[in-house]
Amino acid sequence: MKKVSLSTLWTTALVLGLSSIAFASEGAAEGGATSMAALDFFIWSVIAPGFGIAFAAGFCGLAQGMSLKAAVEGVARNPEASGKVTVTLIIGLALIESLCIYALVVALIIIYANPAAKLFM
Amino acid sequence: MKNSLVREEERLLKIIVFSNWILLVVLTVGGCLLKTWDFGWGVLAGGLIISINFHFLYRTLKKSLDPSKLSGPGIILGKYYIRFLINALIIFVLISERYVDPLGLILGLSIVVVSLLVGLAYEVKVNFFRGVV
Repeated sequence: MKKVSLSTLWTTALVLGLSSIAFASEGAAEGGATSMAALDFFIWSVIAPGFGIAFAAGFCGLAQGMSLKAAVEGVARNPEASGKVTVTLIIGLALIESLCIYALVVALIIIYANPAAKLFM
Repeated sequence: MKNSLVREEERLLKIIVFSNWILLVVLTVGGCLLKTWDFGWGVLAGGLIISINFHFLYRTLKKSLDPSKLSGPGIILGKYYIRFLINALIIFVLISERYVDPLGLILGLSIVVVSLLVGLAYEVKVNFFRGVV
């Protein structure tokens, strides 16, 4: 009788102990999934602005170069029209440059002030 | 003929600069009253950054394309990069330290674009009534 009760006691302790380990591993798996999602989020939060600003700078540089080339050619052909060409060029360059500044601002917002980051904190 | 063309261009620039300041004041006050102080500060900061940027762009290009006051390409490039780096640094500090609302900052940075559209619309209107367009 004593032997049975001892084995019952050990079995109960074992089951309770293993169940706590099993629950702990389940919680860890859930925590792991959450941390993996957070890691994914932060990886893409770094990759997306990097590519975004690279594309924006590249294409804005291309556009500014083309417009500047055309303006310089125009002034070289007709130096008297430099005032008119300059003003038109300033307007065009300001519009192009503002696009690059927008891309920079959006990239910085994604990295430093991302509203979705609160979900993973 | 040349003088009238230059005068027309100068008028367009004056309209753009004037509407810049008007828009900056209206949007800043509107942002402070209708939204939060941070939003209003964002509009003010963005508007000042882009307006000063536009002013320096104008000065640099005027010097670089006027045949009578040509400056070296190194100086122009140096000024361009310094201007862009200062802009990027200011925007970086404003956003990373969260001094201002990012949406307000974007709205403020759009002021020059809106002013350019206003100036172009005014020119289209003037030319339309002249029968050019």
